[in-house]
Amino acid sequence: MTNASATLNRPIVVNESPFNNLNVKERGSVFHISEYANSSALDSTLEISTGAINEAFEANLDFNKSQMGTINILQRNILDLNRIYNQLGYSNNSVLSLATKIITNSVFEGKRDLKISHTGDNEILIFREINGEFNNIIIDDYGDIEFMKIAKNMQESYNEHYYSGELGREAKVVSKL
Amino acid sequence: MACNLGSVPAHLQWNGKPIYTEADFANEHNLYRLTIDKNPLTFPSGQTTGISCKWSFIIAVEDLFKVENPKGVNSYYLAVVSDILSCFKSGNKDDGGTNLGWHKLTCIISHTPIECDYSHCEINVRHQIFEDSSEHNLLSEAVYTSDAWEACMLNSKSNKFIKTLRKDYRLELIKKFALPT
Repeated sequence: MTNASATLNRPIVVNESPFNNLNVKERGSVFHISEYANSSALDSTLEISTGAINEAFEANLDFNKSQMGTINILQRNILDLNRIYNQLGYSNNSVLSLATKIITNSVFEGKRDLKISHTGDNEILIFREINGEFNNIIIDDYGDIEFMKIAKNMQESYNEHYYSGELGREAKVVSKL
Repeated sequence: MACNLGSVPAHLQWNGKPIYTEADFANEHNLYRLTIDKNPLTFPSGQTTGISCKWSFIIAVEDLFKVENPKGVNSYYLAVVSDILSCFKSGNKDDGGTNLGWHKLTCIISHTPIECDYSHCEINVRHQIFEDSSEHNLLSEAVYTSDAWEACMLNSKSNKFIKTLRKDYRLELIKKFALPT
């Protein structure tokens, strides 16, 4: 059993208040996840996610306390992401940062119903179901992104590719999610 | 090793029964793909791979969830064999690298029973490289099972053309499946 899978068997203790570890600064915010007592692979990757979240916070000047209700949702999504990241055996931390920012910015945009999973091809999968259709963001371990729309009428399904180094690709896929 | 899940009906346990050939998949047969919460991309882990299916020749719809399944599956899509066999994705690789030519990915269905699911089969990937889009002069051909396909994907990740072709092929395959009505 790997450290990551061992971690999954431990109970997750969520802070009583979602704001316990959140210190809002005048500009941007600081986000911290600290529910694990012992060091583990998950703790290690959560630190990376934390940094990415803070970058997203800093970049989003519109964030304010009225949006803080989304913090619980964001925390759950980030924990799910870190579990999947470790389960897939990924080690490219820039991929984790990328996925974290996509999730964070999606939640900022009010997309509170994200699901985090993985594909049969060992990729990170972030998706929403809207009226029986699926908006999927697929991230591989090279940090390349595929957006795949699964329409009710399967023939109308389509995909788009966003490769590493492409400017503005995060915002594009977040807007499509 | 025999199936040790008592809940699996005897006729759906492998128990050394014969493995069928590709020719035994009739055009009108159905293939079922199990998913989680109806998203065709959320293929579960375990013995079921990204190209796993169940074959209507052996299993009835009402028995899909009685055989050994990965945790979490709760929905399924179905496709007709003839549609799967007509699925393809192709494109010209002219990026100056290796294996230049017209690449084509198609499906080959293979019966691959597991002890607690005799109906289990996989949609393997045939990768052909032709000299050009006329597809007359075949330069190379390989058939990938799930493990080999995964290894192939790992090797291809640094090549944009191959990676894009793979992903577009996956979408074409997904489009062949539909939710039950």
